[in-house]
Amino acid sequence: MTIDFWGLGLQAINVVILVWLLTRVFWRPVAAAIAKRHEAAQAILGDAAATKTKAEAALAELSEARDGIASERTRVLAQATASAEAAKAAALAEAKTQAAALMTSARATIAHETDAVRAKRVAQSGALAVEIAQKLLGRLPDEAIQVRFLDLLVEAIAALPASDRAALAKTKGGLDLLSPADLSASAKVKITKAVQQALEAVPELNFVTDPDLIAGFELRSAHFVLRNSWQADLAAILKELQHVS
Amino acid sequence: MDYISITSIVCAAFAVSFGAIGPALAEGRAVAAAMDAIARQPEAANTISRTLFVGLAMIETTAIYCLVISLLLLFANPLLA
Amino acid sequence: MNSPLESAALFQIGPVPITQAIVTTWVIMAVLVVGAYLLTRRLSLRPSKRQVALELLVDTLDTQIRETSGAQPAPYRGFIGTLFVFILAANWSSLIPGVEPPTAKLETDAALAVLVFISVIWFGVRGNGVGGYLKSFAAPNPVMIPLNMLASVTRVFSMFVRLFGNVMSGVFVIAIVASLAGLLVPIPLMALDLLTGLVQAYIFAVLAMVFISSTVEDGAHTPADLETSAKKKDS
Repeated sequence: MTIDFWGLGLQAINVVILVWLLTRVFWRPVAAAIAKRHEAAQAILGDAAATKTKAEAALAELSEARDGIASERTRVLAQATASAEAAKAAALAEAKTQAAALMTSARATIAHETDAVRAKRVAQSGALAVEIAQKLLGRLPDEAIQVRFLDLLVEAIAALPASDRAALAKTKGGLDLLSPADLSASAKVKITKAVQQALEAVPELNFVTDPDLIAGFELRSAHFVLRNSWQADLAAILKELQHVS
Repeated sequence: MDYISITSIVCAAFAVSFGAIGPALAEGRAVAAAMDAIARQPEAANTISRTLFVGLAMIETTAIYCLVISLLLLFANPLLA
Repeated sequence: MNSPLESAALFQIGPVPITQAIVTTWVIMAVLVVGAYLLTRRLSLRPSKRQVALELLVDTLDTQIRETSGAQPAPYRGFIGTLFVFILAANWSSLIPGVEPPTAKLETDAALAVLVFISVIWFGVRGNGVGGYLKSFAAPNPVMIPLNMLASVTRVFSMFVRLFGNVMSGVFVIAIVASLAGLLVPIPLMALDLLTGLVQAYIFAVLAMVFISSTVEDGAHTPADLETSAKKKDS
């Protein structure tokens, strides 16, 4: 076995040249193409990552804004609730005061009206009483009544204290004797006699007609009145009634 | 033909035949072990088969040595020169 | 029958005998370079099918280098890839009638093995400096220095004999069978020869890568790959 060293060297040189040529022509360009495409893909990936980051940032911002809106809404809502509560309380208080005022005034009005009604009723009942008395009186004979009231007058004069009676008797200008209707002459004489007898003096009597008396006689001087009539009685009753209510 | 030539031819055949037995058995064992490994771990089949090929080539080398020796005996016998 | 260990010179250029293997090598070189030039003339960002195929080839090579050595493939891609492509083309050139593969001759395989031996030194020195390369002989410990020195020669010699033996035996067997029964009978053997050629090209490139990377790693004092060291022991 012999090895041809020329051939060996030639083949080694051949392979070295082949390695060099193929490295230049084949391996490097293809590897560069792969690397370039890899870089391009990396760049695209980087772009995509950047876009994703941006989108995520936008999303975060958006969610933050949404949170802000939510808190704002809560705040506004709370504010509105508070103001509504305040308005409600104010309205309630106002309504209460108004109602109280109204009630007070209504109460006053009611009291007033009640008073007015009662006054009216009292007046009505007074008038009614007068009417009743007049009606009732109309059915009785005048003389009897006159006699009876004359008696009463005499009794009243007699009941007066002596000083008063004396003062009455000494009244200047005479005494006015009021009667509901015109008296006949005989009646006048009779009355004068009875009064003079009661007063134990002779004062002058002026007969005056006053239909308001209804029935009875009244003796009047400048500063003295001796009431002896239904009018006076009714007035007393009316006064009583007004007092009572 | 003298004895040296006859002995050379016989020894060449002897070298190739016995030189083939050992590698044959060894390659059988190696392939069987590799199959076992691939069956156990199919995901490692790539690495295993690469290693198997390299190993088979190694084992085969001994048979190739025997072949070269026999060829030397037949064609480049220094004793016959 | 012609001895497969001998090769006859076709003609002489000065003192240099030109054999058929050298001529075939030149033809293969021309075809490879021109083909590569034509194929890589228009490389674009948007690859055509042709470019995808080329990139697949380069990417597979890168993956193999990375898985075998664990190193970045860029410095080794040209040498390892060219070894593989050239040996594959040379092995498969036996398909052309009348052509004998250059790798079936002693000189070509020896030249390839010498190139691997030189490249181991080259890459070892380039990776770690001369000191780093010399230190790689002391791995894992200085006792191994003589054995490592011996191994650095014998592993290359074994590559040489392996490639030569495989290709030559395939060609030899086909020649014998063809001389016995010429028609159709050698076809299965030729198919087997194709497979053997592919596997041998692959193994030659992978072993070259393993030797280079183990030297670089030993020089750099990094823990060597288990697989790598196992392969080294086998060779």
